[in-house]
Amino acid sequence: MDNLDYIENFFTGEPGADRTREFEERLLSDPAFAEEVAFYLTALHTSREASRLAKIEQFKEIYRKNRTTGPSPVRKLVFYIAAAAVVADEYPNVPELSAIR
Amino acid sequence: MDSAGSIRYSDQEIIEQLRQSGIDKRRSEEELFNRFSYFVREGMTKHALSEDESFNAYSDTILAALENIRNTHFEARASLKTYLFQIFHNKCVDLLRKRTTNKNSVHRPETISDRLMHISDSARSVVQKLIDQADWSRLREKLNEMEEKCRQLLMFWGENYTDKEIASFLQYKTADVVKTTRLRCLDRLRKLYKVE
Repeated sequence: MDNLDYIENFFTGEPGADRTREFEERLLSDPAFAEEVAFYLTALHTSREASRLAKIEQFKEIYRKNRTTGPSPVRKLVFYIAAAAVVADEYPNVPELSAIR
Repeated sequence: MDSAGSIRYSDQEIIEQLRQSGIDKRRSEEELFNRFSYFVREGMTKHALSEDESFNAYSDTILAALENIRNTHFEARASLKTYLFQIFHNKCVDLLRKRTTNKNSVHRPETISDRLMHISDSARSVVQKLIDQADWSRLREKLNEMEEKCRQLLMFWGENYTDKEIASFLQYKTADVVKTTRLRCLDRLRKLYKVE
């Protein structure tokens, strides 16, 4: 775990020339350390991908729900016509609304 | 209110809510997703994509926008609609290009190569070789098998949330506690991954 902390500090901070050289030397001379660095980056990407997939599933659910329960264009039209009819009834003296009445 | 009877937030309200944590944030993510979900149909008609492809392009658009809004790369110089449409259009074009070129390529974002940019070519190639040999599906499987708390921590980390933000989402006392717990989870994942 100490190595993971060290690796994370290297990638998230702004390592100077000395720290970068030390990091590179360890990568080239210590296969177990190189493996941990590779694991850290692979795990970061895998976690990111898992999170992305979970969000997409959440979006899929919303999209599916809206497709089945959202107002269809015909239902929307019915709503607008009904609303217009109410307005037309309220204002019987407006000649422009006679067609709707 | 819109014709479906729900409250219609302004761009600014959505952006502010997305930059907060808590329940409002999730609601705002849904609001953003819903508001422009008609883009999916546009992707189908204008770019001749299938519904699944267009949905994926739209989902990726929303995810990219959410990240840019959160880390303030989005400066609100254009409306959300214009901004999202530009991203969506680019995603659709990318998809069309992929169709004709490398159909089987694995989706691997730039995060890995970005982080290796500052080290020498010889050191980078050592790590790159090990990454190429990694068993990605096994690692994904092991991550899914972890307990909920660890999985959540690692997924937030993958989304580039800071430990301070994660502390507020998951009600940890401090960012330092999050970091220690997160690295412990990462170590556990490494052990699970290594055990044959």
